[in-house]
Amino acid sequence: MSLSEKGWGIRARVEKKNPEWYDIYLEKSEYRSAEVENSKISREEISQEFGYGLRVLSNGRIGFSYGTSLDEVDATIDRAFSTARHRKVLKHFAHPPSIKIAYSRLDEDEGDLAEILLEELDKRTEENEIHLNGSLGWGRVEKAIINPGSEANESAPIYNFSMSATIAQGRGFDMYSCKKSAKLKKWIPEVTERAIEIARSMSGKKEKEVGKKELLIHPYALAQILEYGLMPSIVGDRCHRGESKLRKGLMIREGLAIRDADEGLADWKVDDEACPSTKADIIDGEIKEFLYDLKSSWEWGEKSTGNGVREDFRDEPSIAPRNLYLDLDEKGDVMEDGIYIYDVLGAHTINMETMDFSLGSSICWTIEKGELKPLRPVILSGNVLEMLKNSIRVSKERKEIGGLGGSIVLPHLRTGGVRIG
Amino acid sequence: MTDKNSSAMEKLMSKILGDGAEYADIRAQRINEKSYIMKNRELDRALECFEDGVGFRILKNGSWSFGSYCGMEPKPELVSKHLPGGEVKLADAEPARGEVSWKAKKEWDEDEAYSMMRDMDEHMRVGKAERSLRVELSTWNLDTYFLSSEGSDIHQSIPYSTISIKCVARENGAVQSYSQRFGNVGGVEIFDEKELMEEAERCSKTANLLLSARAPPSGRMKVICDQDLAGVMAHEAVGHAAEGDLVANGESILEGKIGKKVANELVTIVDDPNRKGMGSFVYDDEGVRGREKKLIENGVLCQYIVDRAYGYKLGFEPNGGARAESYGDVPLVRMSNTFIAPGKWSLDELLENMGNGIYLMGSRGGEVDTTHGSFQFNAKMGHLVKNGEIGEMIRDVSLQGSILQTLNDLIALGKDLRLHPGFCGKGQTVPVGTGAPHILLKNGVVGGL
Repeated sequence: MSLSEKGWGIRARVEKKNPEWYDIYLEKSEYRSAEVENSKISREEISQEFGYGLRVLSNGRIGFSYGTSLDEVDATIDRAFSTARHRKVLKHFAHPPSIKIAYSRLDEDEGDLAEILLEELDKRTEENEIHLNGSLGWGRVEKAIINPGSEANESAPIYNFSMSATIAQGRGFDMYSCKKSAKLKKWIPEVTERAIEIARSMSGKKEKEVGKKELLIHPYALAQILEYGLMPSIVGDRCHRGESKLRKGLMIREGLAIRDADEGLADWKVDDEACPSTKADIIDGEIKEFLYDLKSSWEWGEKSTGNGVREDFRDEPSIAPRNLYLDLDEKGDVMEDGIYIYDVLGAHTINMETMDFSLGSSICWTIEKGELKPLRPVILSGNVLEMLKNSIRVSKERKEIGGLGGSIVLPHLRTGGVRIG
Repeated sequence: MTDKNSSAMEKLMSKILGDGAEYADIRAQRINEKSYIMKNRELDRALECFEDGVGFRILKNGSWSFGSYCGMEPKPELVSKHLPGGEVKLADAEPARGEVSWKAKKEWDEDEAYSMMRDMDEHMRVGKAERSLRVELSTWNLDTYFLSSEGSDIHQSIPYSTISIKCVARENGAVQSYSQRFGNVGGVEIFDEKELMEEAERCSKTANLLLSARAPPSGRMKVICDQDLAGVMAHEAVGHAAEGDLVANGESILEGKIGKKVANELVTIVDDPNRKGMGSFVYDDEGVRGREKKLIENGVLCQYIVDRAYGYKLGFEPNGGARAESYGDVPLVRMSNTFIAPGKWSLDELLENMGNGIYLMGSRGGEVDTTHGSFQFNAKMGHLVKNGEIGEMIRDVSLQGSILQTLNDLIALGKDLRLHPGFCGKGQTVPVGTGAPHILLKNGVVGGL
């Protein structure tokens, strides 16, 4: 039975209970991975999941439950109705636009990826001083979303590879995600080599002096800072509750553009509640718009921006960007002197209300006349908005980080707006 | 487990063992969960659900194959082909047969949860500033059957409950927040309603006070950490670095330091699933009985946390360190309830001894780079201390340092050990307890804005 057919069966049972509105989200996934520990493949995993999340609107209130067995659909429907009892009335409920879509992203099978990883590890058996730990994963997700006016079915493959290398007291890592196995095949050696290169460059004697220098931030470090320091503040629901410092029209910086787009690793045609994925210009110099899902749009009288995202079938949708792009029109030269930050520690501790941060970094270098020298761990203190105001882009090249649930696409940034200690 | 499910597991075991496996185990699990989120007195989310699923492991040719799926029907086809080259071997562990059924004395019902959350919201309505309030209540039960090819047959059922509160206060363009979490293994009975209401009021008052708190000083100074922050330090800085997988894979600063002095001799750090806390259990997720592990005793590194595979690799008996988030996750080396053992000092004595410095309270979380041995924690708030007296409140303050240096800089321990509920992420999230008494560091690296 196809995923949509399973959904039709659930729909027939839900409709018998006469909800004012409903949606059924079904998800099926199979994911395989090979785990590398100490330069050997120590484990292979295969996980299969199937489940459905069910929302019903009853007396103007939303209820939710989920299940993993089609034998228990009626009990799941009853629980969804039961949880609606005490929930708030959604004053601005309106039926979302109708949509019918079926879209499957295909990929040619390029052979056994675990064998390619094994070959890569075999090449390095002589390099005893290097410890490699990482993960290679590949799989496919299929989603079906059914509500009274819409039916969507999409599927996509995903390939991930990450590798961490340690050499003496030096650590490095790199990662890559894509939707074509041929691409990942090419990247397995490159990511491994890059992780080793970074670990080697960090394994020397560490510089102690920091001084007052400009900062060069790698997309990995920047992604962490923006995930915890900016994304919560662009969520419409939090803005309406006064939990965000940002407001429409607030000028951040001429030439700074942050947008959520429908192209990238999470390029689904619709979001996880069957609203069309659209482009949202969140910042274009000033704050232009915030992100909404259906529930927040019904609560605050706004329009969904197609940003209802579920971690999986177990979750009600919540608001999150799909493919977040940051760009700056001003380009600076490659830095000859400064500090280069590759990772940050403790990004989840960023104050999501004030956007202030005080973070560590343990993969970092001083740049002296264009040459990198390993640096002791440092503390970075600042504010995300101030950092963005004082930043310029270094290159046009951007790194995409993430997966099918959401990605972020970033350049290297130069900034003077962060204190280093 | 029903007779039908029991027979499904036996069928699965016989199929996965059929192809020359050296070892196999199965975890069949039922998860029951209820969770509610209230925002500004209105219920924003409510969930009641249950799910079943199975995870199994097979060891063959020195490498693991792990399969998982929703439902109880056997799926032996999820065995991967076992690539050559693995070196996994298991330390011996006595097969266990046991029935552990920790029951909530009183389970939450939705009306009761809703009423409790409304009361907490009401108690948070203090202070002059505009506010946004959040109360979250979660309760879940993990009911796990473990079978192994060596003859282990264990049923373990553990209930958990947590309540989290948060107040975001706004005044004159400034925004600050304060949050607290309470929880343990058990049901309604683990909470004292009066205490919860007092904490709710304190949470809002603190958020209001933080609006006028000053930015912290930066640099090296004497630091007192409260039980919450010091507990996170024990977990992040020592617990993770003592995890056998990181040690064996060249990713820990504690590698090769067993029997060596790594901390001030005052310092004893323990991981113990037998102590009551969010990280409590009787059997770990490979059927080994959980035991107390003195990671550091009187400043000397004594043991690592290991599962059976890393126990073999590092030469330790398995000590109950294998935990998985759910049936869909492979067991990894994890902590349980990790804490710094108490000393003899009162907080007043610690403050007097410190003289001038900083008193950090609460944890916003932290992260550690176990390879380099550096860590980063953020406190929820703090106070400047002058001549042993608690002074001005400070906000957005972090503590950073080297694990080994900080363990040696720990110069006095309070007698007021307290365990906090927490969640630890290592690709998977498991409930843990983190604890400590108040501690005094002589040379803490403090950062802030």
